[in-house]
Amino acid sequence: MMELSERAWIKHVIFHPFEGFEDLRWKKAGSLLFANIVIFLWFIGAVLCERFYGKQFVIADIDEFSIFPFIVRTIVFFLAGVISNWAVCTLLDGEGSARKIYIYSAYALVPYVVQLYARTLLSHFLIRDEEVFLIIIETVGTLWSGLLIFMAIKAVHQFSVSKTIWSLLLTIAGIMLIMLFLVLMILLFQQVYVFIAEVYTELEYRFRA
Amino acid sequence: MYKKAAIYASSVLYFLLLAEGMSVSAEVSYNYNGRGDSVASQAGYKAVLAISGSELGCGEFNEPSDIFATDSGEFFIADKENNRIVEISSDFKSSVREYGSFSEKNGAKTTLSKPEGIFVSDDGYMYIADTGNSRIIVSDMECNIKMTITKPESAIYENETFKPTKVAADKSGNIYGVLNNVTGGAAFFDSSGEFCGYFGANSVEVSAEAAANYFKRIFATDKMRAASFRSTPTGITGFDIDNEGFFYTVTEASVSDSERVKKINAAGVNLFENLDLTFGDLHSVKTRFIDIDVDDAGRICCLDMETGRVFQYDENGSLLFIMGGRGERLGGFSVQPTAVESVGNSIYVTDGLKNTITIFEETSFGRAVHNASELYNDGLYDEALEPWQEVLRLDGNYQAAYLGMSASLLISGDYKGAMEYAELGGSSYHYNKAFERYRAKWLDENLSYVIFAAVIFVILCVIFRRYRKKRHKITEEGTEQS
Repeated sequence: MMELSERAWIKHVIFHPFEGFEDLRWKKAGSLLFANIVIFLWFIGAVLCERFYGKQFVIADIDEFSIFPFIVRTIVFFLAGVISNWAVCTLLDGEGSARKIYIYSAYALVPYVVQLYARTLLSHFLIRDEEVFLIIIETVGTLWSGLLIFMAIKAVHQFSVSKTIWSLLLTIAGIMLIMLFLVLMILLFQQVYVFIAEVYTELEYRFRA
Repeated sequence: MYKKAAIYASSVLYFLLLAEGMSVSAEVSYNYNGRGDSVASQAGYKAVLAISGSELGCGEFNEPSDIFATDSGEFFIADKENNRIVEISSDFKSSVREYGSFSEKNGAKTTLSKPEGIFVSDDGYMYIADTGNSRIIVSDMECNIKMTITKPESAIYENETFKPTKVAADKSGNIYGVLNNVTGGAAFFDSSGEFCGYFGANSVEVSAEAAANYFKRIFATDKMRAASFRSTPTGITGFDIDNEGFFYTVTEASVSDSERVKKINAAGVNLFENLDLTFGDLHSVKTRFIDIDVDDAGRICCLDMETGRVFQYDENGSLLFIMGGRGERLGGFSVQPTAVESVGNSIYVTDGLKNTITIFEETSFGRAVHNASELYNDGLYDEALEPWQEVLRLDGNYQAAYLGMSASLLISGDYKGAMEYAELGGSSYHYNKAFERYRAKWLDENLSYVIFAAVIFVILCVIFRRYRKKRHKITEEGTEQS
């Protein structure tokens, strides 16, 4: 039994939050491809939600747009979360591999991603008085994904509830650390780059003269 | 975010440089768009003249601190260091009279000492804030003192000193005075000069100190509580009363934007409080308003000491124009501009260091905006359509015009157009209003199609489900057989 296609597996874990991920683990299902698709859709959805939201709610600043904050907020953030969780849970005797953590938490994010698209679409038909529907959608999607992520981490490492909470708190701390190091690294590399560029310009002037 | 901040900073710096460094060049006019960025704008007012005391024929001014225009058009200037009040003709060409010495009721002569405020009532009485002598004088035009208000003996008045700096009276003869070092608001006297209390006090700002006091209070004993740490609000620095009796105040050292400019009704309620308004410069420059004036049309002028700029707002507190600045050129001020007064199409600003009075005249663009905004504020959106178009023709950066156009089109039934202009004006609030009507109209016209489409959709869903169930059954049967 439970010979499901990959799409059916995603549906199964979403609508069976308490057993779904255990089944997924038992059957050794879950595909990297579908996880990647979910993360990519998250990224696209975040951009759409910011730029193409109903103008009756917010008018996006057309003068300025940068794609990097969106990449950082979705893809980089997610990768940092996976790495941090893997690092933390390896120390806490978790069973999950980085690959599994990646796939399971990507699947858990589906309600949140769907919520982004649903909200963006609906915001074009609603007026401000009806904004409460959008808030409901956002809240439901976010809480749902939150629960799924909890269950996913619990299943992938075979943790108890209290250990999962503990590991998730440590994971958040880890994400912050990783972000800090990233910023530091970017700053350092920038300085190295500036130094090399200056040397190059200097040499260029010398040889030209 | 940083990029945005950098853009703000650089644009403000740009204007500062232009206003201060290149003082010979023409004035640079700017305004704020919907997102709060400063953008270049047409000038609504142009400085036409800076006039000194000797040109008016009364000898040079020495630190003029206040200017007041009567309804009949004469101007009165409190010439602080010369200890006099100067009356100037309504065409602002020559001085008419000087008032320096007054006769008291018992016949004794008295002179002014550093008067900082002047107000003249419609029935012809001068109210002078005689700061150096710690009193407010009420006198007729022949310099006969009708009443003198000195430091109140009342128990409510807790201060050691009595230094009135601004004075005004309302239609029923109540007298208001801004007192130096008094934080409770404007002192309020009835028509007989009796001290009645304070009016228009600011609230205590939420600062670290106020918050610390709050916690200290919880743990303190009653005795300690009585002895110390009461947080004090900042005192108001200038005020004015409009034709309808509303009381306007400005606060120089205000940290919170909502208290920088207040419009107070007779019950003491600030009508601007919940309108989400910001006054003064929006970025990096700390605005310090020291005087406010409301003209007959209800427009509000605020004078900023930090940058020497005058900000003009309409009756609802939305920005119309910014003029002036620091500098030696015509229309620039020293570090000590002192008072602003607007009459008709002109704005008069006194400068306490240059000892001049600068006159700004409304430009044709200013006239167009005033015309349109007046119609708009009166609710005549239809009539305001063409004036707003004229404004946009002259200055495509003027945000209020887009919102005005949006409101006009909304009234005339062009909801799509109203949405477009609301978007151009960057106001999702106006867009929402237009969209609500647009959607209602669209649904009205297309309701039958919508219902039809919904019914078709439901039927298709039902059919699809049945089909899938059937197929499911067949495959299940198939697996059982094998």
